[in-house]
Amino acid sequence: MKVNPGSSLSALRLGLAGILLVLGLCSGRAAFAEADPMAGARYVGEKKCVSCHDVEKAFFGHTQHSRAFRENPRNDVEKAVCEACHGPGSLHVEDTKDKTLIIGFDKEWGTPIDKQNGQCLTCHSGGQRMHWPGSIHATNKLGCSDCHNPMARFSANGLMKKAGITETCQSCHQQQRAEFRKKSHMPVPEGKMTCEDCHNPHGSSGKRLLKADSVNELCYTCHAEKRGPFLWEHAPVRENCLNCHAAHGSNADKLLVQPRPFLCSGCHSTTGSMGHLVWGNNTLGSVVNGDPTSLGRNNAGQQVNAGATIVSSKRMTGRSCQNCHSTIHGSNSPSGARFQR
Amino acid sequence: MRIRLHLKVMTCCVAAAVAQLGAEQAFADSGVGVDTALGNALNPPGRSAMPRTLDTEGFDSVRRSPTGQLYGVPYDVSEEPTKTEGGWEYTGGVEAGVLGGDAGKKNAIFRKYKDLKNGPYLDYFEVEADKPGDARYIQAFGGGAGRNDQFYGFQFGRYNDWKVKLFYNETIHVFTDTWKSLFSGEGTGNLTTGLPQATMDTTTALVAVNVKNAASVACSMAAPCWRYGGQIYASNVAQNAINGMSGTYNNGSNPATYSGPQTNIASAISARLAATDASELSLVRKKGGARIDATLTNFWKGYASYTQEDRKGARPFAMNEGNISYEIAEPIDYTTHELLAGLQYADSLTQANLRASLSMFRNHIDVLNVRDPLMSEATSNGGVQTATYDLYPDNNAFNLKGEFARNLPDLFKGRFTAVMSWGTNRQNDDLLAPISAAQSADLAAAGVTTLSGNSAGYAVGSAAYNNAMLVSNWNTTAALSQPTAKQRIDNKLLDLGLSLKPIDDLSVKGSFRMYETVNKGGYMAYNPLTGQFGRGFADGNNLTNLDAVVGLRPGATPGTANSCYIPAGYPAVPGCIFVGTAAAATAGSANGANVPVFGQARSTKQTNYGLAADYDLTRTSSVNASLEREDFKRNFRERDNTWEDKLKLGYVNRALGDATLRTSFEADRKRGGDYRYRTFEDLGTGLPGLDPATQIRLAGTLGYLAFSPAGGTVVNNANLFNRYSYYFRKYDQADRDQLILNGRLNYLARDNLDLGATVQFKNVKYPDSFYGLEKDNQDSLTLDLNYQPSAGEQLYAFYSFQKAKKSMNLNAGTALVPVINTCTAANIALYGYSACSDNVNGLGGSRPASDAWTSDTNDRNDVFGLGFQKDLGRVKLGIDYTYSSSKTDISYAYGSTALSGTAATQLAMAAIAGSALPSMTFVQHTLSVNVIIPIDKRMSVRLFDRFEIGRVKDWHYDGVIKNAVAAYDSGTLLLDSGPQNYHANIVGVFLQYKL
Repeated sequence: MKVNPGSSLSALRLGLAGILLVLGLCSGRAAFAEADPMAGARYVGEKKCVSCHDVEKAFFGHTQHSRAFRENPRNDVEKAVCEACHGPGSLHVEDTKDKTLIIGFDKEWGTPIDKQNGQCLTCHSGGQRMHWPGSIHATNKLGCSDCHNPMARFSANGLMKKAGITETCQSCHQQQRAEFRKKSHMPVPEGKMTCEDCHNPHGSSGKRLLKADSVNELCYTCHAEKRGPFLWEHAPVRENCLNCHAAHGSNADKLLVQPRPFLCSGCHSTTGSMGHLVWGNNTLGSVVNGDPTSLGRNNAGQQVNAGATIVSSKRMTGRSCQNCHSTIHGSNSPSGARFQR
Repeated sequence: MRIRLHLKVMTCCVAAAVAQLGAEQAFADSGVGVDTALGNALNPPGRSAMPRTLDTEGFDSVRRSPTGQLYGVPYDVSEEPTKTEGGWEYTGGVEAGVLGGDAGKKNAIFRKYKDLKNGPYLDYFEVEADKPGDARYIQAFGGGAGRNDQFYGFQFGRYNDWKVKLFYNETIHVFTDTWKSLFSGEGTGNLTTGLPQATMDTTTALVAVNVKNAASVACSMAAPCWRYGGQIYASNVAQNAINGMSGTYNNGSNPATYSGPQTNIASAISARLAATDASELSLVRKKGGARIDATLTNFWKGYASYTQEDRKGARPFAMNEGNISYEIAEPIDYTTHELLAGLQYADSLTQANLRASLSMFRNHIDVLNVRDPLMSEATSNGGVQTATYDLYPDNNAFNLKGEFARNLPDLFKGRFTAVMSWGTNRQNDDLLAPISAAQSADLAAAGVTTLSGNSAGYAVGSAAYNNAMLVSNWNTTAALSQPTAKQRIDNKLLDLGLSLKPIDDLSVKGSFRMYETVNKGGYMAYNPLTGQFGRGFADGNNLTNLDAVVGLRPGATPGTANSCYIPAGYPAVPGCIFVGTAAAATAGSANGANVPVFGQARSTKQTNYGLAADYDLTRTSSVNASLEREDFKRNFRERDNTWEDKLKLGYVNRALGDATLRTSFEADRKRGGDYRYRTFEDLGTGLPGLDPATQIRLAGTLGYLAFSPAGGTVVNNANLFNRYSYYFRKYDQADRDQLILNGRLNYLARDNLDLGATVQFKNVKYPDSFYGLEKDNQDSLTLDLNYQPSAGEQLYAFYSFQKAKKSMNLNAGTALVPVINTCTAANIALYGYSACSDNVNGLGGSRPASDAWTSDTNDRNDVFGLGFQKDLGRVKLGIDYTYSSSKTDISYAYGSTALSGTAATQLAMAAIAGSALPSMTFVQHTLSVNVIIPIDKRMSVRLFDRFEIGRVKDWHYDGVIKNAVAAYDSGTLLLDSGPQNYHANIVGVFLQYKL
């Protein structure tokens, strides 16, 4: 268990240099902090707001915010309804053109993103949003209203900006949207899961906004049977499900990152290795369908293997290695050391 | 009045309304748990093709999100809710009609997660009732009634106070509809074919006599005979011809004869399959639950939930026995109970969460017995005709998690966070005896009380040997080191973070995270009744050769006689004669000189140290940087420790002209300690190998890359290449260099038009992997468009391109001893081989570098989507179309001796081997068309059509349907022909009614 101090330290130095560079940049310029232009503002009440914003009122009236604030406010801020989020509006009433005098949540209005989000977090801090500060979405300067639209009701719950969670996420995460169209995918397009079954967009204490302490703990939430623990553990399976599975979709069976047996060969260059699989003795005795010298070609124009178009090797067909090692996630059989029982 | 309201509400629940809002109902807690949505394929979370009335006035109120994306046009809310005298206001609707088409046909891919069979269909209902006077509300919705993808939700409560949610959700999962059922009892724990199983004399001598008496040629133990159709055949070749399969016959040492009407078992199976229609293997997940959320005080909230999921059906599975394998159906009958409770606290400075969860998984079928026709009567099975699987065991998991955050306004506007979590996963299922109850019954029926075969560590004929060979010493759990599993893994998490803002535009954060899994289980395959370490060979079936030895010498060099090592806690073994040489151990194990007897208790400890900074360049732009060191310790793996340095730089500009740009670049470097390739020495009775330095030295001297332990030369154990080659790296343990570039651009092209683009370039190299995965690259590009010219016209489009490539080096090895029918071009023509090998066993032999293979797996995926909604007068039209294409090409190349050690055969074999496998492709077109024709203020007719075409090519399943019998020739029987081309056209006519 030797450590290579040189390699690690060089990366460390590089990283520290980058951070120091940022710090250096900071030291050479003035801060943006300015006095709050709304400091002297006072609350004017919903009636005053809707005297101009009657259209917004009509849509807002169907939202959960509206009902909570109007029907059961928990404090004076919530009683202010519109101003609970937009801030006290007296200065805005006096000068409707000055965008610094009221908090807006859209791009046109230009309220700083931290101020927008801070307004939301006034009520929504903690809970599932505890890890929002410093999260990947916060670092990328997303506003709460990049996903939520409290001004009208687009979703049944959650005040999402789209009809559903997944549609909201995919408005930016188009790559994942496409990956869920692969042959093997979880039932997200079919409406049985959403991105939030696995990810907390508000931040988490783990990587990639995952909702559990580890990848495996997350997967076990639905795949509880694979939790075990088993008498015979398959080491990379126990360590990380993503060693073998691509969560968002795959052209291979079972969300595998690579078709079997090649996936297995990445670690097991024994019975799963090339020569044995492609042409090996397991195909001995199979009958050529036609002339072996006029074999087909794949989409890349390469000559395909003769045995591949007929059923031949048990190590290639169907589930490949799992034709024998069927309990690959772990075995609880005293005889299951090789995951065959 | 109350009664009247209830009637109204009930009416709503039963009759209710078209989805006025998002079809899919978010039921989400983004922080914990799953079940965040209730919906189905016709009520999906994505953009629905079902047009809904948008509000013209609302169109003028449309703004853009902070990123710059257009919000949608609000739905028409002009209709006032119906009011009751009791002060309730309700809205709702229902959509019901009939579905027709060919969703019931063979199209497993289409039906994989949806149930759109023909017939009456309640697509959706929804009702909401509010009582503004006291802030109470009720919501009920559902869809797909009576189908296997139905869903229902019911919620009631008081705004800002408390709420109760109930739900029920079904999900169908169709695995295949090309399944040929050979067995009866699929979906249960007992599979039988019902095929007559030939009888056989159990006494070898008697068989030999019988054979001799009937033989027209000389038969002996050395040259056994086979009888078929009244004729005697004297070779294994003839036997193969008779039975049409290999691997089930006795390889000459134990002659066998079949009798009865089903002498040719393969033919019987073939006939059965020919007469059997393809069927479906699927399961249905049925999940329901309840959750209550309450605002306890201004600062405290609490919640508790319970869910139960029942999962029932069957899925393709496989079994093996000796050298044969074939598909069976694994029964699925699971129940999972989940309990969750939590408290949350938040004030202006402090937030805290406390959560406890308990998950209890129960498998109602934890043993699967397979009555195997191909195992019948083989003396090598000792009379056992049943394979027994121990299916997933019951397990329990508990987790307690606390989270704490405190703002520190006086410390550079800092914030401190701490997360602590402790969990435990446990299972203590009853274990199966090495010879299961079903197998014991087989043996009893055959009159077998004593096993035969190798000494398994004891001198043949000794009292210890005789004792070890008794069936009664292997067919109870007293033959195990423990009667129950006693497995347990505890998880611990500690996550600390401190962020500071030394100046207003800069925030810095330091973090520490430690996640540890402590495995307190482990297992030793030890039989206290016989004093042996080991298991039944071939995982419990071939009982002649017990995979057992006496004594253990983990990690030691070859020992001498009587130098047994007994682990702590295990009794001494009198008469131990274990000799730790490869030859001695091989006698007890046909898979190398090692007997896996130790179920390793693998533990991990992952520690992350992070430092990050985020600096605002302007009000709308920022840069960020982070550096992280991840240290990963584990036991029983190739590397005890790996560490990875991760440097990430990011840039965000939300006002780049009319665009928002977010980019990041990540450079990761993973390294580790010594790569220990002989991990099996921890697992079994000893692989006394060579140290890395010796391997390197010998590699330079001899040019070989793999060595057996017994003398530094390659012998029969060189097949265990990854266990013996110093140059092989398993990719999850290997050194890794990773570069990732991410970018997302949102561009405001016009007032009513959004454009977007996303790129990701991911480049992964494994620089120290001479063999194994070497490169893993993936490049992605997406383009998207959203056009909202009016409330009556909406259009979107997207395109995604993704290209990926994995490259690996392998070394398969060849043997140098040709078999009789050498793989020459002449013999290929003569014997009709599609492929052949002149290997003795296909695995053995040396592995010089000239045997090496390279393989590339290339993926390309294209997805294009287009949809629009348009008002045609009062009629609304919505169309969605998606095209997706995935292609996987696997190609390979090989060294000069990779195909054959015999030069004359190399060209002939190359002609067969080719350089690639056929392309795996999946092309899918999906078109949905919706037309809504208003009839009056409350009623509309919806015409719906969903058309799908799928084209699949997957060489894994090529020829299964046409050539299932041929599979027997290689000891394989496949019942699943896999995914097939399909098309489906579903037409629906629905009446929509608004309350």
